[in-house]
Amino acid sequence: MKQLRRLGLLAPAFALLPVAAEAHNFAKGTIFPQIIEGIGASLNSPSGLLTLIPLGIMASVWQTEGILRLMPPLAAGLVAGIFLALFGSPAYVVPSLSVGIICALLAVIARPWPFAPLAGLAAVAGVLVNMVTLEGHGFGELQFGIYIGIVLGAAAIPLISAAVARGALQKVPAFWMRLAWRIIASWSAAIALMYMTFQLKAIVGG
Amino acid sequence: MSPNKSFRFLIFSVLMLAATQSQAHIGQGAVGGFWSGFFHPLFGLDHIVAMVGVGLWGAFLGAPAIWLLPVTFPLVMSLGGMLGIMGLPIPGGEHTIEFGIALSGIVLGAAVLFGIRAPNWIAAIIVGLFAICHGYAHGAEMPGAANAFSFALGFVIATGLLHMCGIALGFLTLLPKGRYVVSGLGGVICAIGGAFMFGYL
Repeated sequence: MKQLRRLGLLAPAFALLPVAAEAHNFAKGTIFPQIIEGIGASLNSPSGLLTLIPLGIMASVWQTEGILRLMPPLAAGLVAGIFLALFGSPAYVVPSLSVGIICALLAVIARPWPFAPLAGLAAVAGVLVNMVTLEGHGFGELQFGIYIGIVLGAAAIPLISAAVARGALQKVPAFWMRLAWRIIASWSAAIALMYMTFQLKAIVGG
Repeated sequence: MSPNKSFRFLIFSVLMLAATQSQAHIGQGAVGGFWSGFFHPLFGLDHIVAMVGVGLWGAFLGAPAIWLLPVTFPLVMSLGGMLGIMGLPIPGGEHTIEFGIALSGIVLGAAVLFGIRAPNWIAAIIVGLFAICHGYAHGAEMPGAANAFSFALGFVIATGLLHMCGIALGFLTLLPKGRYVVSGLGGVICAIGGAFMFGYL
């Protein structure tokens, strides 16, 4: 009974201890909100989308498991891009989109390309996409979780586009489905070219 | 003033207060976004007939032209658009472009009308040359896109869908009398191109 009375006296003290619940407070807490912010930065970058979506389509038109083979060089490029972002500028959107256009054209032509040049293309795409997304922020300027999110978000874009293309090609193995993806690739190249022109005009001050 | 007239005057006055500025042609909202890009190729008869003509001719020629031409056109048109947006001069200027656009209707329409079976590479070059003219014209008159990504997305999708319409119409050749319908459509495209060429449209 005596112990219970002591506990009763301590109870108000315990009631004073809890702090505000932070389960949904994105400003505080874990690294998770930073990762989400990074993913959002990658997904909101039109030049990143127009570079990486064609890469995914090209990979699936190239080989069934193409994106899995191209993912290591792409990931390496994305990480390298974080360190090289210090040297980035808005003008890097032009070479980044050019890589996207090349990927789209390779998908349109659809030949059994050798692995090495495609791996190089994926690595270059990764570097350029992150140099554009990070807008000149050097390594260490942002929170670590944001870098993780940017890499995850950028890697997810070609994975998703490749998965959609691969799923469609496997579900409907008809000739016209393959043609449809090549036509989609050509449209993405046309969109990238037009977007690049607008960016180029803005850069040169037109 | 009778009570009836007074009531009408009151209603009129209230409506006058409720009226806002007229905004029929200022282009708010659509300019620079997806729908602006989407409707851009759809608002010119000269562009519509050419793009449908490309699809029709592609369907008429069969594989691989059926997909080669619609792939070539948007890509090369974007190149032409690039020249137009950047304002790069071309020989002959606006007259060359207008002539090329009108000629595209005539040539593509005639190709469908007479069932001309050109080799694929020649068909691709012809379509590519016309695509540059159409792209340049589009690029030169494009708004300073507020959202370049959405605009480009809408523009290319609309262009591609016009080709698809042409291809879908081209499949009429599979029907017993469909060939005549497709040839007739080619004649209409040719006539519209001629009307543009001689200033009737």
